[in-house]
Amino acid sequence: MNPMLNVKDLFVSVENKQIIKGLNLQINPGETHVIMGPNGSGKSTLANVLARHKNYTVTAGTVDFNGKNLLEMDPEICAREGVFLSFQYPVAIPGVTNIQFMKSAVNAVRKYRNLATYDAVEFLQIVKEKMAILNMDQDFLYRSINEGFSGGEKKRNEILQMILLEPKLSILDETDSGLDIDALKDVANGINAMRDPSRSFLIITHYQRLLDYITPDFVHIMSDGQLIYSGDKTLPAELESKGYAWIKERAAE
Amino acid sequence: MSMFLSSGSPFTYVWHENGGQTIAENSRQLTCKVSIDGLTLDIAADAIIAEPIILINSAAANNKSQNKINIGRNAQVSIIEYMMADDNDSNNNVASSYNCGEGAQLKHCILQHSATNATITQQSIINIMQQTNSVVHSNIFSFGGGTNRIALNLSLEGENAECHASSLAYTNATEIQDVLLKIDHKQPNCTSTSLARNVLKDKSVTDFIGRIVVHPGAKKTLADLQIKNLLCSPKAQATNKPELEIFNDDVRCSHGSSTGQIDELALFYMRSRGIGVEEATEMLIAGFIQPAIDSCSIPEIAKFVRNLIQGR
Repeated sequence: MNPMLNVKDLFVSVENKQIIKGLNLQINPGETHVIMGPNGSGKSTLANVLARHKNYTVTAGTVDFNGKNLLEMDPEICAREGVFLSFQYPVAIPGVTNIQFMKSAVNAVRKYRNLATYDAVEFLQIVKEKMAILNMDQDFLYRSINEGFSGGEKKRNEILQMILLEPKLSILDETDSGLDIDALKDVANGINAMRDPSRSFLIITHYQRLLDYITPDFVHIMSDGQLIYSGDKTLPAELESKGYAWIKERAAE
Repeated sequence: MSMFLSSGSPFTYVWHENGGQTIAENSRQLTCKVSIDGLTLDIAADAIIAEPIILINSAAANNKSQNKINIGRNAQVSIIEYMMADDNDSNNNVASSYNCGEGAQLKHCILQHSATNATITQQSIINIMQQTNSVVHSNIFSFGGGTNRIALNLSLEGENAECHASSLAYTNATEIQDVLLKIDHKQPNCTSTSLARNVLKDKSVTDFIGRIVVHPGAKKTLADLQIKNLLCSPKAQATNKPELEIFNDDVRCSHGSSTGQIDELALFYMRSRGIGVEEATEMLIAGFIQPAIDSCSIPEIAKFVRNLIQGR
């Protein structure tokens, strides 16, 4: 089986500071990977590079996505090819309604994938169905994107966009941070509703609690720009009790 | 202009001033005299005129009109001043004076709309006097032409008068757009709100001066002025001048002014959802000007402007 995502010996710098230092990662279709690690280890940098944020400069290494060179793609092409990033801090955009935004996004992606675009009526029906999974109010559709949204609303919105865009690889950058218990369950439900043998997930988190609802196949520990240790779903519980120092020692052995 | 004159036009009363042509019946509710120099319009007291009245100021070559509009006590009316010039070297000048009687309600729009043409000059000077309890909404929209200037003067002459002004300019090429807004608070308990949005492309230039004067004795004045510019080109140039002159205690006045570019983070967010740069930029511009369109009190004009912008 060819990997969906193949990151080889990746080096990334931001404003001339080296953040990622030789990272390797393979994600096969249907797999869920978790990356944990101390603050500043480069987790969000990896997420942003994979979504093609231009402020992150790749200085060496390759990234293939379904056999195509991801590093040559503009952000919109990357999204249309099937990479989705759930932002750690979703951006508020005054004056543009959620429904307008999501309809444009979904139709741009569908057009690229040679699928029929939705008219306003069709789209409204689809978006309402998906919102029900996440327990979202309908008035949300006509509010400006993320403007005045609570932390929970913003993250629900990210997951709603993910469900609508039907990506192959979803990267969730601390989607569980700052969520109350109900919001966390809704977000987990949204993610689980998407899981199938052709879709993969890369979940960046600091906490075990999201993993109570979503069972990962692999858990990686990132430190100083590299994945220093990989384990299975039991690793987060061990980390929770022992901290990161234990892993660093073990990786050094 | 065809939209305004065609059958199915949302506007019942149309005065086409070029040469003094009138397309409207005088009635008990309103009377109108038109000459080559401009028009005089009287709205009777208590008249409620549902259909917006549109005054078309068209410059074939050189137009200098002076309009006088008198709105009677408690009357309600919507008036649109449509400025247009298509020919080279057109010079379109209009001065309109309004008097809004006690309790009158005026919804007013100035729409300057021409093809981009550096040789065209358009100037509107609008003076609106407001008596006690009158309410005025005045919305400026400006697109195209060469050099455009709109001076809007609102004078709150009676207590409890209220005015809400907005200005939207969307400039490209080498267009120059000046808006001079002045609001005089002369009596106590009056309220004014003003907002301006300018979107500048290419080498265009905008200048916005918003001057609010709170005269001695105008206690309990509420006044707010917000100006925002969006520069879409490194060669565009915007100037903002919010000016507050307050000769009084016991007032609440606020103002804000900002000039910025397309938000890179917002653009990345939209692109990361599959939306191309061009469409995302257009959506961000539309979002930026939305408050100016929302504040338009005449729905037909809001719709017309929204369509115009899509073509810019």
